[in-house]
Amino acid sequence: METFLQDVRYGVRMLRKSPGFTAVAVLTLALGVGANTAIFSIVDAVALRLPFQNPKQMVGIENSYSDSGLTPSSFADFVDWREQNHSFAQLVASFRSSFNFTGGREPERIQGTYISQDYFGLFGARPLVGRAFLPAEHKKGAAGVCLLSENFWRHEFASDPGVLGRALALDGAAYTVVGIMPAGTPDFHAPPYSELWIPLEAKPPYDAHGTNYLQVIGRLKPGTTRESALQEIKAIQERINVQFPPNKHDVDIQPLTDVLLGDTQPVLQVLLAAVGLILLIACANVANLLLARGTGRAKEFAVREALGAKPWRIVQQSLTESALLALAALLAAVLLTRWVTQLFLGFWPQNLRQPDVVLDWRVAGFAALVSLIAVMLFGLAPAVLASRSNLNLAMKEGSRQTTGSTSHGRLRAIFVVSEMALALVLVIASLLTLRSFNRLLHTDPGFNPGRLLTARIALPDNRYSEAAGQRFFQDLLDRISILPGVQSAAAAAYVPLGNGGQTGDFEVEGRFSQTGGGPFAEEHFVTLNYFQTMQIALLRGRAFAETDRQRMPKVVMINDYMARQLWPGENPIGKRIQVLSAPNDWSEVIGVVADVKAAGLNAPPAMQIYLPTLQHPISDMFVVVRAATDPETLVPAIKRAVFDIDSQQPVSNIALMDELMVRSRSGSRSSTFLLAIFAGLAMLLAGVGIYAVMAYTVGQRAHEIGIRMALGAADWDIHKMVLGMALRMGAWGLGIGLLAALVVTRFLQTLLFGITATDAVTFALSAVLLGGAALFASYIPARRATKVHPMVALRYE
Amino acid sequence: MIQLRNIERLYKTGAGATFVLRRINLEIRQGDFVTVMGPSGAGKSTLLSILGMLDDAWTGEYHFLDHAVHKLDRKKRADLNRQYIGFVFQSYHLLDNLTVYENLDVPLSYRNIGRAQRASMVAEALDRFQIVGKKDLYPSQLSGGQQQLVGVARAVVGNPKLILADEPTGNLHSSQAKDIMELFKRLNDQGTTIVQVTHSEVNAAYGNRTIQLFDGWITNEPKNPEVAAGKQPIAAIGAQPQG
Repeated sequence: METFLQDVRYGVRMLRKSPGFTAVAVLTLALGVGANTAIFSIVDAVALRLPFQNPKQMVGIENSYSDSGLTPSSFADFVDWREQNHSFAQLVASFRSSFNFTGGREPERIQGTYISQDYFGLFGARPLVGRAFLPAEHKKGAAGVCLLSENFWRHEFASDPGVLGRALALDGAAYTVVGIMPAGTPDFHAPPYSELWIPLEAKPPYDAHGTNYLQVIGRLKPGTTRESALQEIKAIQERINVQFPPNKHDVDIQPLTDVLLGDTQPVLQVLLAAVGLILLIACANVANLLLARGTGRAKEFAVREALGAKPWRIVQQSLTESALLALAALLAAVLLTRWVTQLFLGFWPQNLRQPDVVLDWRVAGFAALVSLIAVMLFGLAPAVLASRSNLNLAMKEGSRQTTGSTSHGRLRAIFVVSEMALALVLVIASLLTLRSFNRLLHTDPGFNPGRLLTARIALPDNRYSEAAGQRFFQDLLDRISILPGVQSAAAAAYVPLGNGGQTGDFEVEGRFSQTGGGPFAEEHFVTLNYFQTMQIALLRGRAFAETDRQRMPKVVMINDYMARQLWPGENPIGKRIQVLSAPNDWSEVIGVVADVKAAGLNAPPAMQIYLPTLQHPISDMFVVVRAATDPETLVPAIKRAVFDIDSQQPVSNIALMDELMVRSRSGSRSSTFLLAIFAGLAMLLAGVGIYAVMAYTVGQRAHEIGIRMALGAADWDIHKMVLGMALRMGAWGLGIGLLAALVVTRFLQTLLFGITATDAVTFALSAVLLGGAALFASYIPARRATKVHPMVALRYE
Repeated sequence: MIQLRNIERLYKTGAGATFVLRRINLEIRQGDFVTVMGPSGAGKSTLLSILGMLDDAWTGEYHFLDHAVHKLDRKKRADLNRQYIGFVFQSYHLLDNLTVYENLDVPLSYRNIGRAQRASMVAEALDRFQIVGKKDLYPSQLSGGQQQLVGVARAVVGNPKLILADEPTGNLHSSQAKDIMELFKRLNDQGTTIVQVTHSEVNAAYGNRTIQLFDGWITNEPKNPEVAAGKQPIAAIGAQPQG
């Protein structure tokens, strides 16, 4: 213990003696540890620190279709699974929806969630005030009841406990408030947060097989594995498939964390890998600094050895100094983590629930663990080398400045080469995502998003018949069209990039149809003027007209991609298809329009069918308004137009199409910018590494440089010598980095759009960029080398 | 070959400046073998570095052959150094990690000379100094005398007009020193101008002219106006040189 304290005292003194070295080492390590801790804190919040017990026993069940991948589940499937399984202690389902809430200051559309029986029981969530739903309230046809969120209760009812027992008007129906759920109640759906919950089984929004909308979560019984549960659910599903062949599908069971992370998972994995690389680079950097310093202290270690110190004592002393550095870095990293986490969350995708990041003992423990690993990574090699110093050599080297021992020099070069290689992998990854994002920015969405406003108007079924709904929208669009500043107005069931949409199977006349596996397409129900308002190009045929009404022949329009897929080289106009979700009749293709990126700017091309609302009335639609000037100024007038027709009807989801474009890119933007920051950090650290090694080498070789200058070396010759050394190390690093990147970047492919993970231009550009940074970093020492005064250098031999 | 007029060199110190060379006026003719002597700190090595154009921070006029060195920039001075001057050092200053052959090649590599021509010039020098057998050895494998022999060979391999030698035999025993000095004498006889700095009267005797430096002043050259007029240099009577 006494020896340890002595080492600590001595270590502190040594670090204080070299404040520059200490500051650079601590800052470098703090960046590495801080970046890792920040990402960990986010992963912890998103995937590890789930607000319920035994998350490992929780799984998500999804439908699996051969052609469209994983989808949510239908109510009918869920009920069968719940009744027939023996693997789950609890199986629950939920569906995020929204409701017209009237009775407040003005009608508004609020977020609500349908939940199945025992939903909150699964997560151990209890009401803050009042009670949870009773089993009887989940029975089909039971009277409407609801639970409110604490947030909604505070804002809408000023925390009045008297709200319990009151009936709220949701979509025109009465729901009695039975309880208030506290803030932090599990909510796994995309933002915004749910303001209320209502029983699913009492009145499911859809109950047919094939209408897939439920998120199903289950808790496995103790001793049941995910695999055995999957086999059982698959067996149940096969029985259902026999009964309902049109909706034939498979099922998949995934850990709940995978279901919740969804698209975020690969991003977090890439970011974790990136910060891991940064930690390695930081460690290599500090190890290099310690090696350089160790060379300067070779004589000290040799004298200690001569005085009887065993090699382990010297290792111990060196490691103590490294541990002190790591401790200082840990403290700095904890401060940095808060800031870096804020930075990360600032880039958080708008369409994902923002994690509730808490910097607690778990995060601090992780930081300490990372620091400990760092000590072993950067401290051990210099410590062992220090313990092997040779007294004779050290004394000789101490008497005359040489270029340091070969083993130290080689190890330093290895560290720099490793740093360059690791940094190149990060730079390539970053540049790939940057170029991918750039492609995304320049992707043609297929319509003109400029000065386009959208707003959702969801007419409640109990107040509006099909015909009344049609009249409402016709009247509304007539009123909006004549507003000053409006160029054109239309409506559609979903707007492109609006995080919603409908797909369905269809049949082509005269072609073999197979059940449960036929072609499927996006279905867009649109009013007249939709294509004109959205400025979607009509490529062939005609657009919908007033004559395309209900008792007239059914018509559809399709997109160019669908035309090319189904009728390559043929004229699709006049062909007939049957859309299975509206199976009234065969519909004739009357027009072909340009492809629209409806499901997301980076979505692959999809077949799109447009159906006229005149033939297929829809009560829940988005109006789209093309403005002549700033579309936001139209919002009050549009709201007034709605209220003039129906004072109980809220207008929700008001957004500019430009905003939806930005939101659609926000996921890619987050990963792109974070990776760019990490790559910049990696380049900076690699540059500092090269600089430190070259500056040290120049200092050590001042004598040689002096001789060379006395022998006639010009500035350029010295530049060439120093830069040549840097270039040799750089070339090795870049070579190894390029090979490593070839292997590593393929894991990025899912995050890339319009560019392959092994894009040669990106690889070359990254190598040039990092090589340039390395050259720049070594230019300063090279320039300093030319300032060596030959006679001074020679005199201090 | 060389004319120095009022050369002064000072080092800035914390409070002011300290002169290391003061009003140096000196003429060296082609074929001279000049010895510079004086106690430590007299400015001998500084004078040598100015003559070798390794030092830029001086004032005065320096004419070398037809060049007004004081009007040249650093790059042009380095060109002159490369073209006309060879250096021999007290501690040899061979490059440790290069062989004898490579050490001789270094100064040529800085002179824009093709590889083949360099090879023939190095071979000639190795032959002339009878060190062909040692061409692949590293400096650490040679004795002190052999190292200095290589040092001289390196200085002359480019056929310089002027050799500047800073205490060339300082680390050698007397017989090795004699060999080196006779080598210098032979080079001088062949027309090479030599300026050596030494503490040794024996070595000085190989030259045809000796300059004494004391606290930055030349004390024995009649061309030095103060000394010629019978004045003592200020530093010589104990006063600090004034900046």
